[in-house]
Amino acid sequence: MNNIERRAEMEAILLAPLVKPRPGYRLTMAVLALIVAWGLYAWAGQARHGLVVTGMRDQVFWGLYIATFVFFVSASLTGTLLSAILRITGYKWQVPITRLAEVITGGALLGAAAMIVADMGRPERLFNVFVYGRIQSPLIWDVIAISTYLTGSLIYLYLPMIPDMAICRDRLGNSVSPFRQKLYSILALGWQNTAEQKKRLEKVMNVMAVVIIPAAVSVHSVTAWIYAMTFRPGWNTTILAPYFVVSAFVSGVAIIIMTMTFYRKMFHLEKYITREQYNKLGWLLLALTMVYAYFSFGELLPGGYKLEGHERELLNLLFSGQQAPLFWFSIFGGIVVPVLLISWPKTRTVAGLTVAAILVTVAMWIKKSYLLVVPTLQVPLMPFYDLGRYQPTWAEWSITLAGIAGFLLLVTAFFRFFPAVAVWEVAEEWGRAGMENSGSRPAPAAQLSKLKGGA
Amino acid sequence: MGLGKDSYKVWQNLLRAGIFTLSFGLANLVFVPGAMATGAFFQQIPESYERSCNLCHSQVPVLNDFGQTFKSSGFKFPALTVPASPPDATGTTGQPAEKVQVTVAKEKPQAEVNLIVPGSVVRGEKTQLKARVTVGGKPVTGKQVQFFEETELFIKGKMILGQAVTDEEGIAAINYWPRAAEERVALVASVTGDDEIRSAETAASLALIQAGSLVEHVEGLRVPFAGTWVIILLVGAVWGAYLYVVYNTLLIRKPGERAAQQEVFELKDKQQLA
Repeated sequence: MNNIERRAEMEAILLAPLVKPRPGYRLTMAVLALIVAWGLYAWAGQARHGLVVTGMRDQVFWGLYIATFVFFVSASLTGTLLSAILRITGYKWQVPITRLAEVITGGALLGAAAMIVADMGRPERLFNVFVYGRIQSPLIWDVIAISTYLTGSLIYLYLPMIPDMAICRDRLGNSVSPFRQKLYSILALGWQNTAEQKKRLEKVMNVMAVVIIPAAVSVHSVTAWIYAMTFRPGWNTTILAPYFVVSAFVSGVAIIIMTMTFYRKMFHLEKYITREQYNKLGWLLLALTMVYAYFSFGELLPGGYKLEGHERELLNLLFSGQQAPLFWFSIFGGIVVPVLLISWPKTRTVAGLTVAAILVTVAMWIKKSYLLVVPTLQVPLMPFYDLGRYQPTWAEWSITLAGIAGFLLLVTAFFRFFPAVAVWEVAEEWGRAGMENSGSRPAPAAQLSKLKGGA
Repeated sequence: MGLGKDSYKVWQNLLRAGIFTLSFGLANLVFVPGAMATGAFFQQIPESYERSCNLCHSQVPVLNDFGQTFKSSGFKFPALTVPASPPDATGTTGQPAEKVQVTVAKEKPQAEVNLIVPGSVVRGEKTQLKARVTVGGKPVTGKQVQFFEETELFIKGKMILGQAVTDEEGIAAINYWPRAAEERVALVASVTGDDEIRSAETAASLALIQAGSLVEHVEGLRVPFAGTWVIILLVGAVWGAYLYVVYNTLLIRKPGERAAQQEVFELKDKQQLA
């Protein structure tokens, strides 16, 4: 099979979901939409009755919402890592999965913003942040950083899509609705694959790859400083910002592995998302997990050695108290077991890596989000206070799950309209790898029409 | 409420609660002794005096003449001589006639106090308030002078600024940093009466020049050249890069249009040749 045929085959496979969704697609969307709808109902109740419907009170005033916000912010580093960092270091193995990573970044940032709104008892007061915000506040730093990073991520998501929009414009034709035809035409920006266009696109993508990295690091650092700028045990530590960045890398890689497996299966992308991507991501996850383990140890050791102030109570709570089961699960399930699964050749398979990624993702949510927020707030700061109590209510769970479902809905809906793999970039890589890339050729029209007609 | 078995139990419980509450309240009234407060100097009152709040106070905590005199003598009973005004049961001395040995003193002279303030002072800057105490035009030494600022914090009142003792020239002085937001501040100087002189009070007004800030920001680090502009510069640089990228991205359209036109021309040429 020569390069032209390979490209035609790739276009047919990657454009097929845009014409006719896979059988499980509608069911997936329906389930996610239902969860979101239920969450909106719970949120309406919360907006009406106030935050008293949650388990948060005066001592533990942050809970599931803020924990999930931190998790989403962590997840948003995946796009920058795969798309930008590996790009400027010259790696190319990640090209087939950059689109997935960038969409996850954008969706995660929107999910993070949604969780903040959910946490507000009076959401209309969000605008006060912009009107009355003080530059001295870490919350304002976070608003600036997240909005800057979100804008950059959306730009960086769109840029490599331009040639793919041209492919959709040229190949799909009447296979899609007139609205989508128009959409592809506008987003393609008149792309004709000329040398000048390619040069210009390469230049702006290189600029964005460099600019997006400090923006991403700043988001995670600033989110960490919201906690580190307080005097609370567990938060009042200088290691929190780099700790957040490292754990965000770990979360990001784990989420991309999970997403890769799901969409690879759903869209039949086995030829383009291969064992190479899984192997590389597996080793990356292993290395990052070890670094994360080191940071976790470094975070706990000084506090445990000195046991100054309220640190003793916090560590007791984590190691042997109320939060001990979650804490030890996050250590064994989030570090030890995944490291073993990835290290051992027999379990270093697609299934094994996916299981490791799921464990890491859940453990990250527990350790770096929930256990970061709640136990610190439970520790009483006044001498006559007891340990704070926090039990999330059904409303909180519903709204949180709706946030996660909303994120998945957004990502899944995106791939209904746009290709899940960067077609143009993959083809360019084939060309650079020595294969002849003499231009595109229309995909087998009969194949696309069949899909549209449902035959 | 119904008359069923459950409602009967509720009434029973209410009745029990009511009886308990009443008994507890009555027990408190009968068995708990009355609370008594004693003044700070109660133990110092000699036996010849009646130990009562009315000895020093017309109405607690306001001091009567006896109380004022006790205070100015350094809170010492042995140095005390009871003033000349005849004692009565509810009078200013608060001491019944049959209980006290009264030493009738000569009538004390009236002190005069003159408050010396500068013409104007910058708000927040240090200045000095002086008061000159004289009796019959002659300066008096060793007299306690209190300085007040008339102020209003929900209600009008006098805020004490400090106190000083007059020197050989009869002048008592304190340092003062005016912080009022108004253009003028009302000051009062009061000399405490003792066995030699009677108390006196005077008022004056001080003009304030409203300049500068009363609050000095001493918290945080002073880092040279660091400020909000650094954040604006960094964030601005990132957004500037975004604008540059967007501008260059939009320029992608033109080469595409040229290429499309070129294709059209080539196709026409081919058709003509054919």
